[in-house]
This record gives sequence, C-alpha cells and structure tokens, in this order.
Amino acid sequence: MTLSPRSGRPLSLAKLEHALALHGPDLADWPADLRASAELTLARDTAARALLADAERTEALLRRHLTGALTREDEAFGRRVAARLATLPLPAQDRSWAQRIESWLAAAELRPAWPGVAAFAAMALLGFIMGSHVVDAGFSYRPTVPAVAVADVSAIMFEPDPIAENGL
Amino acid sequence: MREPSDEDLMARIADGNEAAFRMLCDRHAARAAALARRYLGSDADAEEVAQEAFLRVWRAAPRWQPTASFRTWFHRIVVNLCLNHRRRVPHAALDEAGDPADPGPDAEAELVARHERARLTAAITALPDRQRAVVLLTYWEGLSNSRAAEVLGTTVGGVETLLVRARKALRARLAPPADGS
Repeated sequence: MTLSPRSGRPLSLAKLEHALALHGPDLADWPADLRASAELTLARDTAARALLADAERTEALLRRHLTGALTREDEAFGRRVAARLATLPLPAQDRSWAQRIESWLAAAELRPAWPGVAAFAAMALLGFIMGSHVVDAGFSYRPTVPAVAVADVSAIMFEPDPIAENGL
Repeated sequence: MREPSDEDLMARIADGNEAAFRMLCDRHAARAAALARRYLGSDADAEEVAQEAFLRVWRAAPRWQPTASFRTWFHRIVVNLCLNHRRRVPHAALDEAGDPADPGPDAEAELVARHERARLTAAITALPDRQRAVVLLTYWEGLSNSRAAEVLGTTVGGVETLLVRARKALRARLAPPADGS
C-alpha cells in the first residue's frame, strides 16, 4: 500500500491503519508529511482515534511482555540445555578434505607454516608417486623395434652359440 | 583477562576444541532456549531445538565464515529449526513460556500481568510462522529490521511487510471486546 499523502489531505482509515502498523503508534516517528495527514484524520474521525488507541495498547503490551529479559525459568531452562549438551557425545565436524589433512598434520605436529608450500610439496609427491606407478604398470614409452631385430641382438649379447667348427 | 568473543570461540571450535564449545553453550543456551520456548510454546520442543542448534554449530564450525556476526548466524539456525519443527509438528502442545516461577509481592498485579501475558502468548501463537518469527526477533530479541531480514533470509521490505501484517493481526486479536467487558 502506498502511503504518500497529498499534502494537507487527511488519510483514509485503511491508510492510517497501515501506517500505524508500519511506523508504530508514536506519530513522532513518522515522516513529516504522513504525520500531518494523519493528524488531520485523527482530529476529525472518532474511528481513526480508536485505531490509534488500539495500536498504542497493542504496542504497549508487546513492549511490556517481550522485553527480552530472561526470567529465572529461562535461566534454569538454559542451564538444563547446556548440562544436557555436556553429556552428549559430539558428532563429527563437517570438514573439507583440505581441512582434514590440515587437522591431521596439526595433530602430528607437522602443521605447515605456509599452506601454499605444503600444497606444492604434496603435488610434487603425488606427481612422483603417479609417475612411478605409470612406469611400473608398463605404460612408459617404448620405441617400436621389430621383434626379429630384438631377438637377434639378444641372441648375440646373451646367448652366443659356440662357433661351429664348420661354421667358417 | 578479556573474555573471548563468540568469533574467537568459533575459531577454536573449528579446530575441534570442545572446551570452547562448552563455553559457547553456557553463554548462549538460555537465550536460545528462551527464543525457542516463546516460538514453539513448548518446553520439551524448545529443549530439543536448542540442543540441535548447538550441535549444528559444532558440526558447521570448520566451514563457518565470519562474514556475519555469530549471533545473527545462530539466530538464523534457531529460527530455521523452529520453523522446521512447526512444519513437522504443527499442533504442538502450548505451555506458557516465560512466566516467572513465583508471584511477585503484589499478587493482584501479578495476576493481571499473567492474564495479559497469556492473552499475548495466545495471540502470537496464532500468527503464521514467519510473522511470529519476525515479532519475536523484533520485540523479544530487539533486532533491527535489517538484522531480522538477515536472520530470516529476506529483505528489509519483506520484514516490514511481515511486521505490518503481524501488528494488524495482533491488534485485532487483542482489541478489547466491543461491549467493554
């Protein structure tokens, strides 16, 4: 609902009710032009004054009973909650993998001074492990050499037949 | 020695420090439970919600970023748990939360105050969930509209709309009977 009044014109009851709910019953807190229009309405209309009285009564009730001050019952209730929490086993915390590794390192008193350096070292280690694994698994580069040539070389190098007497 | 701030405690809790968590619980348990009691109108439900709120703080602490104050974040957890609880158990039994255990020196004035409080509690309980939340955050917790908007995950305009509707509804419910009785 728009509340911008035409200056010097009284507010309708519906607009007054809305303004009371929006700005509260203390007209001093209202924008000046809205307040002037509301005052005109209140001066002329009994129903408007009844609306204001209702709003003041409700606001006073809210302010009186919802003060935010804890009662003794609240304090006792809070202590009960805290005491019960102290007996409950705490669940695992939500940690990212990076935080888990950091906690593990901290527990082992190996917490890195520079997380960036630690990350770099971890990546280097990972690269080394993966590299070793790939070579072991037989994925390393091997030139294609004809099988006959390999066989010939190995035959010469490792299985030299004795030279037949009649070989020459 | 200076008391550690909530944010200091959260940093320690993020490292798994249980003593810091206990300190945070002692500091905020009464307030959290009081808000939940007034929202849910039931001590048993409020106890459950308050406990769950703290356990969520413990679990989420390593991922918590101090972009908003701890209190705003914690209010948000409590209010969301209350809203979820109301969705799950819409017709919870209503106690009258927040009554002092013993009457004051003026028994008659105390009786009137109790009657007023009971009417107000009933009127607030009858509000839709988010209107009830905004009334409690504004009046009970004393939050500004912008803080209440942060807690409820809405805009300041959204909070104003909720407050306008809530105040109109409360005024209608709390108006004295037409015959003046």
